[in-house]
This record gives sequence, structure tokens and C-alpha cells, in this order.
Amino acid sequence: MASVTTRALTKTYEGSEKPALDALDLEIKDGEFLVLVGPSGCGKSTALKMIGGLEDVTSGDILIGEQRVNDYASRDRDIAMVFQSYALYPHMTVFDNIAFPLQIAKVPKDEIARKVEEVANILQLQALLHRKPGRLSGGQRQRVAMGRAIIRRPSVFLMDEPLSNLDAKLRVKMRSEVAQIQRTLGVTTIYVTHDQVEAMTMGDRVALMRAGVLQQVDTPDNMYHAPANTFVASFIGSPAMNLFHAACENTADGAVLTLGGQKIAVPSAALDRYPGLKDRASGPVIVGVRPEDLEDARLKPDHPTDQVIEAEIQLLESLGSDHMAHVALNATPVHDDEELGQEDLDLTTGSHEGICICRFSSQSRATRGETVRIAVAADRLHFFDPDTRQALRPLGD
Amino acid sequence: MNKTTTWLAALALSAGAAQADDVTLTMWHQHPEWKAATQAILDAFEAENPGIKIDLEEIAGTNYSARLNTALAAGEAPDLFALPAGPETLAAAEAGYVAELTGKVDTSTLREAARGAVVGADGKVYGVPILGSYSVGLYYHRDKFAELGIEPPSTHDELMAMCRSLNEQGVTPMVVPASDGIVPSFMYMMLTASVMGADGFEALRHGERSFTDPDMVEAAKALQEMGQECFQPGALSTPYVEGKAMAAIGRGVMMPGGSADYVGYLEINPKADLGVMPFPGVGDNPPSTVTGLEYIFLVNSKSEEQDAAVTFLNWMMGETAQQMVVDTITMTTHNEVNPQGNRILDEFTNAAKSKDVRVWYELPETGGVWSVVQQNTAALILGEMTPEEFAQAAQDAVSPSAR
Amino acid sequence: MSARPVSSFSKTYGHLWFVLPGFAFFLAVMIFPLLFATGLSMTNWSGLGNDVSFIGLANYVEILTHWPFYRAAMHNAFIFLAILVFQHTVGLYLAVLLNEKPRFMQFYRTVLFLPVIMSLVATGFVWTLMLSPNIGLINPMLEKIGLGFLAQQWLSNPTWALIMIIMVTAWNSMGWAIIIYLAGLQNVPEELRQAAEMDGANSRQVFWRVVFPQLSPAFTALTVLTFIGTFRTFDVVYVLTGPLGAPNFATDVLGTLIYRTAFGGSSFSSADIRFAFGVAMALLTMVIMAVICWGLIRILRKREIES
Repeated sequence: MASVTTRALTKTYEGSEKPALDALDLEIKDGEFLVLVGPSGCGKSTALKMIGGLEDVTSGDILIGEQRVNDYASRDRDIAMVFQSYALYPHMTVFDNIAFPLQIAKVPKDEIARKVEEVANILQLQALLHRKPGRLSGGQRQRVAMGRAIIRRPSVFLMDEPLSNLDAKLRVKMRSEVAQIQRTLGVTTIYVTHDQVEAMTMGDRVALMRAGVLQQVDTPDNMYHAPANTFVASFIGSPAMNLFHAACENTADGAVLTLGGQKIAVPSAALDRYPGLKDRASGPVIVGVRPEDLEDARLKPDHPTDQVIEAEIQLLESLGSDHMAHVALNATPVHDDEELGQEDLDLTTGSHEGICICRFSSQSRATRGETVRIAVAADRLHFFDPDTRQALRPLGD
Repeated sequence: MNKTTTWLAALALSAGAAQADDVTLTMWHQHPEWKAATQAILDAFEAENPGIKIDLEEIAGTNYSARLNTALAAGEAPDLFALPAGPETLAAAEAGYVAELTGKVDTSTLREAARGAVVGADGKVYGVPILGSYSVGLYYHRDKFAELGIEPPSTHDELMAMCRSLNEQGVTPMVVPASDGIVPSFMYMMLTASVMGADGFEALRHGERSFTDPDMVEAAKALQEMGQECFQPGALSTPYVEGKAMAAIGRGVMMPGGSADYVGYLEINPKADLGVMPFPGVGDNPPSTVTGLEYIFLVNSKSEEQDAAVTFLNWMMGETAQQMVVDTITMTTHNEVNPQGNRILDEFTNAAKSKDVRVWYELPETGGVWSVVQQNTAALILGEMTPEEFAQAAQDAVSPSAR
Repeated sequence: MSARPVSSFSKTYGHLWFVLPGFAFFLAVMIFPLLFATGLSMTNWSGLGNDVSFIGLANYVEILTHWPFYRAAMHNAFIFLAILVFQHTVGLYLAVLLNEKPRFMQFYRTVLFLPVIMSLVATGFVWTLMLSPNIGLINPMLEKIGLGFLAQQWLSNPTWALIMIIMVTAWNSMGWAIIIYLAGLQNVPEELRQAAEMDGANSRQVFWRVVFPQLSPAFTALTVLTFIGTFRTFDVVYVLTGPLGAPNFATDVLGTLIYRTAFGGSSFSSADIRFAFGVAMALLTMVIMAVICWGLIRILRKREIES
């Protein structure tokens, strides 16, 4: 077991000027489960393959434990990897697939048999040992791939979207199984996924990447509640955080936010979380609010009246437990998912009117087309600099 | 011109005039290297016989029988085609592929041996020689012999001594394209001819003499010795065309060849200064040559222009055509035509005076011997077969007839 | 509008109308000639003349004791084995090298595949010229580079002649081996290699234990194609050493033997032509080859992966 550290790890492919991975600094503690997440092409798989020794390093260092392993072949790094395609050896039985790393290491036969038995028990593969991969279901293959990875007890597990080929239900089940196995074995694990739900549910910490650049590394809770920038804010959480251009006015009594012509008082709790807002002169700002922080005001009669806005419901989706109300706000939305510097226009309407998603409780009787009053949990608002898109609080917080 | 030919020519002319439209006769032959010379004769024919055109297709020897046999079986053979006189002509006639020419063509102008070859025992004629006959002997480069200070050898022992001495001087004594066994078979024919002569051949055909007679085995032994010491390197895989070219340009001072080969040699090397000698004799026997008819021409029984074809054949057997044959291509079968200034043919005629035997494959008794010998020469030369075994195999292929 | 209901017969068999043209063609150019040839092989027809009589299986019985048939088949078998080994070693190796996507890959691939698309008759003729001890290039070249002692009468020595036939065949057919193996290699997922590498395998182990087993379909295809190709070889031998398989039949193969038997090998005599016997040999060869092919495919398929 060992920690994994990358220092300014950079990968630039031939014929491309922009690095696929740009100076990645990560420290993964011994036994930690780190999830690398981000949209496709963000460099997360490249980073994983470099740690695995499957890609050359352009610059920077990779350390496993205290050892710099840049120039080590994969097989000398004491790591195991689970591939998205599982990469099972199609001509070998399940037994041989799992035993392969040990056979290569020339472990005595009876010991191999014993260890395979053990792994098969953990993964419930006992009945399948003599089948070939071609005759296994997706979930079974996934477990065989896991088995092949864990049999050697490596220092580090690398997992490259191991669940993305499974159907939704199985994915949920395997999610917990994989996390469970990792906790049991206590092996340092780097897990790559594009699915933020997997990231949030599985990882001890989550590292979010975009276009080769690391955006934020933190626990899932912190990622959710204290995003470092608008990208993190919009990527983590589903439905995504609502982000709008707004204006903020600092007064003696505190701050007042003007969102689409409506005013919201910003309580001090919010200002404490985003001290940057206090330090700024009045002016434009990006405000973020999670859907669950927007509630039908009729259900919250005690809600401060200066933290309420009005808007017309354009679409109402019922999830049973909640009602997702899509309301129109006369404010410019901020879309910050795929590309940097994208113009903040709502392309569907061409206007500056933005859709804001609210998660109303199932008790809400709001109907489509109705103009409702919405209670804003203003103490949980998020604030970002409209130019840098960074959260308005000191870095490293 | 004698009376007969004049009459025939007149007949030919009237036949030509009677044709309302041009008749085109197709004709297949197996001497691509004669194409130009043959075409010149055909042009002369067409000039004298307006209304008849000959469309000649020359097919290389190795492919000829396969193509012709297939075409005959399919009913797509040309109006005129060539086949070896003897068993193959008779087989084609029996199969009904060939129109009988008895009485339609005049064979009286043929030399005796040629007439004997085309007129069957029953007096029937199926084909006539129009492109001559050939003798096979041993060519040599006269200038190189003079340079080396050597004389044509007349016995096998002299030849072997010469080969050894030439080898020491780094000169290849003899060029023999032996990959298909044809040239070595001719050599074996000449060696046996030197031993048995024409009378002996007659006796062999009637079962009174054998290739396995001790004196005849010497012929096989002689071929083996030559193959091992006189031939150019790689003779057993030298194809005919390559061997012929090497011989013509003097990569070797001697080469077995026929009278018909001279045109080809000169075509490759116009400066070649060649002479011809009969093939050195075995033991004390005199040197020898063998003679055969070139393929004789037959008229397709399915041809719609048989009259025109007969006209053509008769013209070809006449003096005009035969003079052209002997002066530009090979020896003639006409008994009154002599070469005019064709030295090589003169030399062949002289060489044939020593001891000359007809080629086996034209005669029914020895028709099968040829292919057996052809297939075994390589084994003999490689030493994988003894001369005795070789002679025995040849003898087994003889089907003797009663006298 | 009322349409006539489709009868159940035409519903079941109507599609056969579409097969008919193809089937008629197949009948005309395959089945009929095959039946005709089978009939012909039971006669004594020489290929010329009307002398044809039915002799049953006598030709086939004679083949069983016809020494040249076995000699030729042995040569085919020898060529097959040699080419097989060559393709599964050199061909595979070159395919692996090409699969590494070297610089100028297109160039190498073209050069290596070129012999396949060139006419064997033309290239074979060039080979005879190069190998000729009289006018060839090979021997003088060997002498020039100080290897004169290696100079040979390449096509006149019975052993060397067969080796040369094999060499030219190998040169000519290597392109197939490379293309087939290259296609196989490119179908092996990159992740499979990476997984094996992660599991601790060195590059040799990765190849032999993981990549090579994935190539078994290519192995099967190539083996069967090589078998068929070498047992019907004709042009190389005909061009290099003639219809008699010179020297002294050391390179005689079934193709030349059948050709010679059916059409004759001499321009001076067709006395030894036995067309019907040649047809019988050709048919027997075809049947034996079909049986062996079937066996080969059965055995080799078993090794392949269930996917």
C-alpha cells in the first residue's frame, strides 16, 4: 500500500499545442479512494494511464510511495487496473483470467488456486470459474475484472470508468460493491468516471478536471457546498446549480442582490461564506443557487419576505417526492459546462431570459403557467466573480 | 516450271477468280521465330492469288498441341493447321478432324523420304509438307574454333577430350537447353543413329535390334558423359529460349541444333559465324544427323473453304514457294529445288551424308520412345539413372511391328 | 383496389425465383462441367480422336499406383509445410513489426504486398533470369560481396530447385500472410495488451499469452489458404522449371503433372497425352484437398475463441 503523488504532471500529445493534461498536482493518501471526474476529454483518463505507465510523461513527476516511477514499466509499479472494457482475456477461463497475474509472477499452483478461491468468494464468482468471458453477463465480467485486479493485492488500484458499460440498476449495485471492496482491502484507489453521482457517492475525495486542468480536489460535501468556481458548481449536483448574472449592492445593513429586477437580501451567513463579496464594491456578480434552496413560498409562511422572488412556472416535472419547477427569470443565465469562455446567451430563446430550476416539495400545489412566489434560502447562495468565475472567497479555503 | 505446276497454278488462279468475295483462311503453326519469313511467302501467294487471304497465327511450340487439341475438340480449329507427320496426323484423321487430300494434292514433287512420310501404307494423304524438313546436327562457332585452334571432332572420344581442354581454358564447350529434355533427346537420337544407322533403325522398328544392345548402351553412356562434362552450367534448368540466345552470342562454342534454327540464331546475333557438323559418332562409328519433316499442314474437315485451302497447299508445294522456303527458312522437301547461296543448308546437306536417320516420333513403332527419353535425360545426366536403365526405359517404349 | 392474395406457396418459396439466375449460372459453370469431367474421367479418351470407351474407375485405380502422382503430391506437401512455417514465422513477425506503425508504414506495406498483385508469370520469369547460372544476377552478386562460395546452379540442382520454388512462392505469398495477420493484430484491443502489461507480463509474455491466442482465426484462415494455394500451385513451377518440373521432376507438382498428362509436355510428340487420366487426377486431387481442408478447418476452429 502506498500513497500516490503527482507533481506538475503534464502530457502534450504530438501535433497538439495544448496539453491534454496540464500540470496536475495531486496527493492521494495511502488507502484513500480518489475519484477523478470531469467531462470527456478533460484529461482524467490520460492522467490515470500516465500513473499506470501506459502513457509517457511529457513533464512532471509521479510518485508511488516515496518512489518516483516515471521511468518504471507498468508491471514494475505494483498497480492493478480495471478497464472500462474490462479487457478480460477472451481465450482464458474466469479462473485463468483471475489467476493470470499470479501465473506471470510464477506463484506456486496450489497457492494460486487458494487465492483465486478466496477472490471468487469475495466476488461471488465460484460458479463461473470454468466459463470463458464470452459467456458471462456484463456484471459478471465486471466482477472478474475486479478479481483480476485484487488478487495480487497491489499498492494501488486504477479504475477507468469500470461501471459505465453496465445498465443503470446494476451500476448502482456495483457502485456500492466496489466501494465496499475498496474499504475492505484498504488499497489506495484512483477511480476515473464522467458520472458525478459515482464521484460523489464513492470517493473519499473527488478531483474535478476540465480541459486538462484540475479545478478542485475535495471531499464530496465540500465540492457540493463550496465549489471553487462556476464549473465545479454546475458540474456537481443534479439538477445543476442555477447560475445567473446579477448585481450586488453593499449597504450599511448588508448586501442586496438584484436578480432579474427582483431584490433579495443577502444575510450575513452568506457573506461569511463568501467574504470576497463583502470586500467588493457594488457591481455585477454571478450568483448560484441550488434547486433545493428554492421552495414554494406558500409552504414556508415564516420565510423572510425580503428573500422571496416571483416567477412564472413554465414546466413542472413531478418526481413523486419533489416537484421540479422550471421558472422563467428575467436574468442572464451562466452556462459553464463544456467550453471555457462560452457566451452566456440562452441559445434556445435568444433572449436574456433564463430558466431556473426549483425543487418544490411534493406538498406544493403550484401549477404550470402560474406565477409563484419562491422562497430563496439566501444564506446558502453562492457567489462568483463574473470575470474569473472563481468563488468569491480566498483560495485554498 | 514443269507442266504440272503450271497446270496447278492455272487451276489455282481460276479458282481464285471464281471466288466472288475474298476468302480468308486461318492457319496455325508453331514457329513464331519464322513469322517474318513465312509471312513473306504468304504475301507472295496472296499476290498471285487475289481473293484468298491467309491469316497466320504462330503459337509457341510448348503451347501448340494443348491449344490445337482443345480447339479441335471444340470445333474451333483453323482451316489449316500443322501437325507432326506420322502417328499424330493419323490420330487426327481417324478422329475425323482432317479432310482427306488424296488425289487433290500432287505429291510427285516431294523427295522420296518426305513422300514416304506423308503417303500412308494405304495410299491415303492427309497432309503435305509445305514448310520443309529439317536435319539436326551440331552447330559450332567457326571463328571461335579458329581462335582456339581446334577442329570439329568426329568421334565422341575426341569431343570429350575437347570438352575437358576447353573447360580448363574456361570456355564452355556446349550450350544445351535441357530443362524440357528436348535437345538432349535429339542428341540421344543422333548418338544412337551413329551406332545403328538407317538400316539398324529399320531393324529396331521391327524388333530386331534394341536400345539395350551393348553397342547402343554406349550411346546412352556418351550422352551421360557429355551432360556431365560438356554442357554449360545449369543446363538442366536452362529453358530453350535462353539456351538458344546463349548459343547465338557464343556463350559456348558448340550447340546441337536443327537446320531450322539458323534463322533464329542470326536474328539474335547477326554477326554469328556458324558452321555445322554431324554429331560426333560413338566409338568407331561415323558422325550422324537425324532428319524429320517440319509439321505438315492439314485441312480442317469442318472448314467451309476446303477448295481454297487445297489451292493454297498446292501453291506452297510449288517451286516458287519452296525456293523461298529453302532460301529463307529451312530445308525443302521439293526434289528439284536447291538452296541458292544458303551455306548452312548446304553444310546440313553434307552433314546428313555421313549417317542420317529419321526422327523417331514420326514413326508409329517409335512414337512412344520420344516422350520416355525426353523425361529421362535429366535423370541420366544427374546420374540418378544408369545408361543401362535409360536404354531399357527407351526400349520398353518401342512397339515393334512385323516386317 | 383489390390485390390477389398471395398464395402460401409463393410466400414460402417465392424467394427462390431470386436465387434462380445465380443458381443457373452456378449450374452452367460449376456443376455441369464437374459432372461432365467426372464422366470423362471414367473413359480412356486421350484428348485427341474418337477413341472413347467407358472404363469405370480404372483411371482412379491406376492413380493409386502411379508413382509420379505421389512424387508430385510429396513436392506439394513439402512446399506447403515450408510455406506454412514461413508464413507463421516471418509473415507474423513482419505483421507485428508493421503493427507497431513504424515510419513509412504505407511504403513497407505496399512493398511487401506488391508481389501478391503482380503476375506470377511475369515475376517468375524475372526470377528465372536472376537465378540463371549463365545470365543471372544472383551468382555474380554473391561473388561481388565475397560470398562466391554460395553461388549455386539454383534451378539445376534437384534439392536447390525445390528450395527456389519454395522461396519464390514464399516471396510471392508473404503479402497475404502479412495482411491477414495485420488485420488480426489490429483487431486485438489495445486494452488487452495494457491489461496484461499491468498484470506483470513482459512484452514477450504479452504477445504469446495474450495477443497470439487472439490471432487464431487468422491462423486458421492463413493455414487453409496456404494449403489450398500450395496444392494447386502451377505457375511458379511452370515458369521456373518448366512443364516437366526440371531437373528430373525434382520440382514436379500436381499442377504440372496434371497439365502434362492432359495436354502434353513436349512440343514434338503428343504420344503420351492422356486427357481422361489427367482429369481423373485433377478430380481426385480436388476431392482429397476438400477432405483435408474440411479436417483442417475442424481442427483449427476448435482452438478458436468463443466470442
